[in-house]
Amino acid sequence: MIQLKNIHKSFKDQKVLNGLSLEIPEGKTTVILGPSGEGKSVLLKTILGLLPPDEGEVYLEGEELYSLKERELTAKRRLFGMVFQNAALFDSLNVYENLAFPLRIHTDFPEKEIQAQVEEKLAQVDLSGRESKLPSELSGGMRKRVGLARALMLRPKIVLFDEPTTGLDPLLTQSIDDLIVDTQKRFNLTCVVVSHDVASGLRMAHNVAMLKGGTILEQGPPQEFVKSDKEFVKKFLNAAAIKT
Amino acid sequence: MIDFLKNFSLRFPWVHDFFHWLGNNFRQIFLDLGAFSFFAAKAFRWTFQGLFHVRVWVEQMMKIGVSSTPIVALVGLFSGMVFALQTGQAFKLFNAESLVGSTVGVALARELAPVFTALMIVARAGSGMAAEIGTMRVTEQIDALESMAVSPINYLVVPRLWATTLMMPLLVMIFNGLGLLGSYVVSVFLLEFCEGVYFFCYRYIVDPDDFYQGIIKAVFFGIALSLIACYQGYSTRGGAEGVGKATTKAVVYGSVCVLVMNYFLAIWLIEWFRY
Repeated sequence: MIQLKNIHKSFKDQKVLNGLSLEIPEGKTTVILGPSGEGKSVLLKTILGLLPPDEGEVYLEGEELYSLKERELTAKRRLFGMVFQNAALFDSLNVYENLAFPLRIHTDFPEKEIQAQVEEKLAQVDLSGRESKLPSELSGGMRKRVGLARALMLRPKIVLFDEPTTGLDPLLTQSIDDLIVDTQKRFNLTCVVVSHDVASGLRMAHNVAMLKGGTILEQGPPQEFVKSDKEFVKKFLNAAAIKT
Repeated sequence: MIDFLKNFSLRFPWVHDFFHWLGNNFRQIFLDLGAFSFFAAKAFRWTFQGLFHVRVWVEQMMKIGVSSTPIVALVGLFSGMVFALQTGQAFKLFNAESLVGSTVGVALARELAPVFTALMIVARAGSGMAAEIGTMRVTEQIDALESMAVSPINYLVVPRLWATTLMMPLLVMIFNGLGLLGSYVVSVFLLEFCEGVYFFCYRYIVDPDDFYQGIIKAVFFGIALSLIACYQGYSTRGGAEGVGKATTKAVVYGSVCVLVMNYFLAIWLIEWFRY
């Protein structure tokens, strides 16, 4: 389980996170909704141990992340996989090399085993046969799927998704949502998804939280979340044409 | 006293603004120097505690060393030629043509080869490092590395730092060799100085110590220029504009640092090799 306690984070004079506290249950998908520019990506990077908060603590399996030494923190990140908004694939490496990268760094697998694992993961994201393509030769949706496959290569316990469906057409959005739901179920992962796509978020969530003003305004299972009496949540859901 | 200063700044607001501007700039310089020092310390620490990425090391040595060889050789050849031409013309005035080879040799070994090579590497490899790492920073590829439990310092900075440091002395020796060839061609075939005297004076005056000085300088330049380039790339903010700024800063700061360091290293090395 991940626990965030009283997180504050500012960039120069701009307060992004303001006393945020949140519990992310194990083996479930938690979707954090919120308008653009509210600090959702900052929150993900804080959970991953990339962005130390100015104040507050992040607990992972009972251990405070930012009290760890740099080397221990780096090792702790093996528990995580992250799918970035623009996939963040290494642009000088092809799809195969991108997927093989974490295995080459962290395991002693022979090339045959690496190849087998890469092919298996590519098949899971429906991209078999695209091994030799460079990231620049892939569409946005394909890049996201390769990003997801790469995030799963080291069999992480926790996967963080940064706006996984932003900029995709409705059909592709649906297929990415299904992929996240399937992957979460198959590997019993703890997934944290940040998004401003309400419909997509509600489809895959076990637990939904609304980030506003640097703190969690509302949270709960999707069925309860849509019945929230908070004015901002209502407004946000109405704007996305979700029945409350 | 405080009242006096308050009244003074109210009467002369431009003085207040000037000192405010000056103070802010000094503060920023110290903050940058502090951040750079931490970055350099991390790079040295990760050298010993991190993984050894053989493929990246070899790749960087190829990029920085092997790929830079033709340009360094060309610059070395023409630097030796022009230096021989100019000193030859000047030395002829007081019949000291015999000293051209040794003068060029000493100048190349101690100063020209390490400094010119470093400037070429700053322009060629340093700008490339800053642009590559900067692009990785703004496209979240560095965050992706960290998310995969890979230290970007260990994976990106350490191989570049030591590849530059190892390749610099070799490139300096290539520069020296080609520079000497250029000066020999100009002195013997163009200015028609005696070949035997050219080599006799060269062997008599140029010491191995002169080459050691150049090599020691090359090592320090390699460390400094690669750290500056990597730091600029690593701390890139913003999009394409940020990458452009980081690249420019890497080249400007790297070149200035090489020239300033050269003077202080020269003072130290002259003293060191005197005994």
